[in-house]
Amino acid sequence: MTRFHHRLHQDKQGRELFVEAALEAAESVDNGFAFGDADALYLGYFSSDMFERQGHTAALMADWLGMNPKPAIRVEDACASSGVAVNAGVQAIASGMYDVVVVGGVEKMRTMGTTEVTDTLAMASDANYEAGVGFTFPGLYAAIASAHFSEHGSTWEQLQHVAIKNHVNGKKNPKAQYQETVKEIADKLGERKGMSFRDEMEFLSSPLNPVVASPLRLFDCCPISDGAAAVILAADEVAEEYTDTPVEIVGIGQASDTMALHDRDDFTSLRATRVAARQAYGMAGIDAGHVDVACVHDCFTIAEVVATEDLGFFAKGEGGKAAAEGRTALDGDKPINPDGGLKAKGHPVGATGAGMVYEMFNQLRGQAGEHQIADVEIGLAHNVGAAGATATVQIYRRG
Amino acid sequence: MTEYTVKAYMDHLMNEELMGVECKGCGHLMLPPRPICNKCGSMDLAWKRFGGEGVVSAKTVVEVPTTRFQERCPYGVVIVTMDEGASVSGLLLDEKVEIGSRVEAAYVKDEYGVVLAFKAA
Repeated sequence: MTRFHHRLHQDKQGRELFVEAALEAAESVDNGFAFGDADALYLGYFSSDMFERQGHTAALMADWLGMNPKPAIRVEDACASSGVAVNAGVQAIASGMYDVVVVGGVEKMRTMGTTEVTDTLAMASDANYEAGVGFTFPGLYAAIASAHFSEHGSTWEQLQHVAIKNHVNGKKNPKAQYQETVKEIADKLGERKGMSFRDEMEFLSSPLNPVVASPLRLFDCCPISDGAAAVILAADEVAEEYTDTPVEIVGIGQASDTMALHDRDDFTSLRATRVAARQAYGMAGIDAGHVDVACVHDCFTIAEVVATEDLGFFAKGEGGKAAAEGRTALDGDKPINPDGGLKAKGHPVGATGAGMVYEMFNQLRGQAGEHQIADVEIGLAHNVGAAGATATVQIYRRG
Repeated sequence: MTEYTVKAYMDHLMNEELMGVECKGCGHLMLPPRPICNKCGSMDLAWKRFGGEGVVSAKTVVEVPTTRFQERCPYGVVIVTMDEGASVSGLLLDEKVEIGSRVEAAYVKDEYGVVLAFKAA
């Protein structure tokens, strides 16, 4: 994958980012890999149409990789685009139709200012009935947070531990957009503004961390990012031609829910996550307790808390407390988002699901560097589209 | 073709009427309307007039808006559980409204059309 970043890629288009990510994937194959070996490309790209005024991006990327005449399929499921693309690639191989597929995602978002990006992301909600009454994408998760606080007694302070932890992890990940801790950012911004902060919490409560959609502030939100990620999936029978140490995908799940948040029975939980997880755990023959490390969809701090509850890692209403207690840190009993998550690693929407697979691959091969979790056998990746109308889960096992 | 369209709903809103549908098969209420019951799958539906009153279930105040709402910013958005049972999103016109507050529907017209809104009841 490319580094996810808000400035670094300003002279590159989506096609260049995706090629860069795909080349790194190919070069990482122990016994060598040529794109001509692949039977198909599955590409997640949420909104090339708005961001780059470019449609038909799967064919474009296949062309730029030199994969013609292999079929290329674009998946658009909002922020879950490449999580769904991964599942589609797995299904294509499992069907027997293909042996090897390239799967990835890309988003080039920094072609626009914040208001236009906000407009574009709001299209992933119900354009008439949510965006049409003033909801933004952060606003929907803010509504989820308000309901979670009200029903489960969780607090904004608990959410801050998600942001602080993910920045600690991002600092250890050379691919992350933000490789600074919240404390380091607080000191830097404070110096510029003539302010000093006792600790992270004082900074996060200050005007230097402005409200985006109450109760969520800037550091509760993932950033706007450019980036791409790509992975190569191979059938069991051919994988050994490429590597002696594959990572196995042993379970997948995907589910949908109502487009509008207001149509759900519970505003504090994503049913699509719960259903997708049940499918994936069932296929893998495991339960939540077996998962050693997970990448979950923390587009907002509250989203990580809700995800860790919906995936079964913590009881309903206990996710915030678990984060505050350090249970999800690199050295916690359930490490979550060791790569910095969407919060610190960045969230180029269509690339995020594939970026999680990149992390799973490195964690399960013991090559995640400074943010490696010790002795991981089983990993889980969880990708969500917008406010939970789509969710995917995959379970990975050390090969 | 269904009569339970986005346009029909918006036209009702423009006339300051909050109209959803009721499933004749299972009694489920849907607001805004949709053509197929999302509980039982029936297409045997009827228009259902909502009284417009309910209780706030979720709330935010948006400080970073979309283009349409830029001039209102900051502004509240709520999810309201209507007295009849369905929930719906709306613009919030009263800052003092919180989760658990009783609200009633209001209809805000702008250059794009009509926006369902809520104010303290």
